[in-house]
Amino acid sequence: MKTLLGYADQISVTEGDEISFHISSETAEAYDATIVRIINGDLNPAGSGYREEEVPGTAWRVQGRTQKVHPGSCIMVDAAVPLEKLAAGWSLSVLARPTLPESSGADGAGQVMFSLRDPVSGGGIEIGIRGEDGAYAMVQAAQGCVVCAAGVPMRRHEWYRVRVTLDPARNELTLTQGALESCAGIADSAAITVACGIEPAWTPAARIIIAARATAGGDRVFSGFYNGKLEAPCLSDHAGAVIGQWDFAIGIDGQDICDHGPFRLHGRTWQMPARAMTGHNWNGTVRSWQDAPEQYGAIHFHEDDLVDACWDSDFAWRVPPGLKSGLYAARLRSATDEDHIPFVIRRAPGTGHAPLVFILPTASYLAYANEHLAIDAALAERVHDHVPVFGTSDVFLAERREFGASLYDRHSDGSGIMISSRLRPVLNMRPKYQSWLGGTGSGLWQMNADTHIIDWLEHEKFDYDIITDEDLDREGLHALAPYRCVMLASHPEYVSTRMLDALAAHRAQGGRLVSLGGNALYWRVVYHPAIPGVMELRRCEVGNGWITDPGESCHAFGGEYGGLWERIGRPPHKTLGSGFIGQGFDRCTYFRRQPDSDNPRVAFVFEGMKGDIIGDFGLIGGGAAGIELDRANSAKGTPLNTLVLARSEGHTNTYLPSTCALLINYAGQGAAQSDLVRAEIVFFETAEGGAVFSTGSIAWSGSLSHAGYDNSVSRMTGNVVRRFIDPTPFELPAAAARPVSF
Amino acid sequence: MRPNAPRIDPTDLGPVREFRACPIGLHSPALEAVLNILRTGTMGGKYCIICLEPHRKWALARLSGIRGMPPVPVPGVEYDDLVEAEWDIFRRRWEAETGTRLPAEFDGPASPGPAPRNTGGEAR
Ligand SMILES: [Fe+2]
Repeated sequence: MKTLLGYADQISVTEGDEISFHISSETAEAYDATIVRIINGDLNPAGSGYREEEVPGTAWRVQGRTQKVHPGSCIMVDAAVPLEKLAAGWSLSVLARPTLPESSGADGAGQVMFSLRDPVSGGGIEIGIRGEDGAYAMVQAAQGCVVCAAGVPMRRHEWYRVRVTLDPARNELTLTQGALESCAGIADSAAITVACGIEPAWTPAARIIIAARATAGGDRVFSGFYNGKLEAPCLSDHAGAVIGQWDFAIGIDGQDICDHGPFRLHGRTWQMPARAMTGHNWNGTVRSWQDAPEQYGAIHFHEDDLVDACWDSDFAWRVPPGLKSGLYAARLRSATDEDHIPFVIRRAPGTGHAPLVFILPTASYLAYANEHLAIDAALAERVHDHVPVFGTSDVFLAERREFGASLYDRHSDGSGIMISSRLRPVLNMRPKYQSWLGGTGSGLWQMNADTHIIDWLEHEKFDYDIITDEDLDREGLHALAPYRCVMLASHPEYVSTRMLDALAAHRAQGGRLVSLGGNALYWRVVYHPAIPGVMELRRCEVGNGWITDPGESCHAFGGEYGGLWERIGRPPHKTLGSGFIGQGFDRCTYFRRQPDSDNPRVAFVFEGMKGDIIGDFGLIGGGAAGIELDRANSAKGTPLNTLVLARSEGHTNTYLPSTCALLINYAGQGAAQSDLVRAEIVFFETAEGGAVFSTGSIAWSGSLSHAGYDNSVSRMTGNVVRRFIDPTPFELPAAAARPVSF
Repeated sequence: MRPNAPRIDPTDLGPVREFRACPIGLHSPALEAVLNILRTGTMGGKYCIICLEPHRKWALARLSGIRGMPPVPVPGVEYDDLVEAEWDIFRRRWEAETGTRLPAEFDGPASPGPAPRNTGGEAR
């Protein structure tokens, strides 16, 4: 059973840094904590064996305590409201586009659009939606409450203007719910007036919360979260003078909420609801919120938004000098559970550097963080041709939705999850974790699959350092400049502009690049400019799991247009020589050497290798070729001097072209019937004396340790890495260029 | 079962024998068709596997199809071999779909033949 949960405040630290660990012990048991270096996270008895090394002097006994997660986004206005101005009456209007209009909120008391209530007594006012009742307004007095409801439900994904007026002189509470576009046969607009002889029992402690209500549980614990878009809330006094007028089109890329009113009732978003969302007036002529922010005045709130669990720290550790750069974890053990909270230790500045740097693709780990695909969506069994297997963590997350999901999943209202964070327990970013995505056999995916590479680097005694995507995004070329050779992991699918820029700059200084994975450098993501560990994805154009709504393809973080890098003009083929072509998750196969492999330019790659077949063995699906596959394509940017050294074959019809490779669907594209979906191992020299080698297959690293690390995959990878860390420049081939592949 | 959905012919045991011999890998078009039918249906009640001990022990379960409700174990059904789990689920689904019990020949252990390989399609 899962009883220990936690996260670290950082993903990458170095000597002298302090890293803190935020833990919940669900049973409040004590636990032992030790820092370990992770070498091989694979429990498969057919593999080389699980391996972690304890860091001496890091053993602590910690009294556990339970910490809760409170998902749900809203806007908090911390300034006191001039309640005396509302004594003679008030009115409130807001535009709303609900996404779960049939819901009355988690506690049945309503999805709150706007509230001004006392956190303890609840006295005050609240406007929201209650399923069949549609919009409602409530006045809570000390002695009771009065509710006025439209009495007709709202339609999902439609815009409404909701207006509420309290007139104490006439003892009337009036609510209008007006659909901006009506539908024949559906009466979903209404104007209702009820008698209201009571006054809101608010105190100076009452605060405005937009899209939720305050609770007595704490000033950051809310209830009644609203699902959907809200725009332009405005609170006026009895005479129509503005008290607060909030404009979500201002500061779209931040967390501040601007009030145009005279009392500076500015707010802040909580748990990052989606900004840069089209408003009621978006007319389709603009695609970027930066071009016309006034058409992006909406915020989309979700009851399950979560970027920061906000847990207290249980213990902290200052990284001592002398530790090897690598993947580490705080290992927690109680009587009922074990957990590992991973982080990277980088080589300290001024202590030299290895010739090789392995980039842990933490952006891609975040994209898959707490993924619920096989629990929520029917595709799992279809894409891997067997029944999904769930581990303890998966079952736990299926029940405990408050830990959030991945960028492949959807919110409870069906909209795509666009923001992921590591400031929460991420249960699939762990050694020992097995994933349904990892094929048959070891079933490893992302971080744990990448420990196969670490295990191999250790066994082969390469001198290497490890950094993370976050380091690369923050520091750019500076993070790569010392290293002659950069190594990419099994599935570095998600990259930011700054990360691609850094890889390009490294190549421009003669750097070498070894890519050991598949579906690499595929989607654009953007890290939050101010909050490390928070990342946004606008999954536009082809989608996967979900797709952005029209007009919402530009990231709120900074405004960049999202989607596939090949559609943004920087295809992975240019950087790696190959790009995503298709996937399947059943059996993995092998590579066959192609005529280019006899070229003397790549004699070093095949030194000591026998036969034409490469990698017909392995812990991931039983072969080195599989899961997600990349191949060369000069039309998409594969350099013309690229050699296709080997191509995979023998795939089943579970392997199908990716949507980016399809302009039209037709029969017979399964890989047993068509040779379109194949992985290709490619090599090319760069104009600056460097070189690039890409395997084009996620499964590759699962074959490295086969037969005591003495095998074709290990040998080929080793040959390449040894040559790539050798400073001797690669010579440019004379007249080598010709179009490659299809 | 939706009115126009494709059906399985319960008298055609060829695809069943093929699956028994090789549950994961290259399938004939006939077996692919059977699997596609068996894998449709809503998420609620769909079979899945829960790992009890990594690489050693698994249990049969059903998805709830309801957000926040975890898979529910089917009492008393455990496996020490994932291939056997795959077969057991296939058999349960096939029998439920066709309303027909599989004959006795499928009660014994599998006798796997040579795994089919796709070597066609590579010549260009
Ligand atoms: Fe992926």
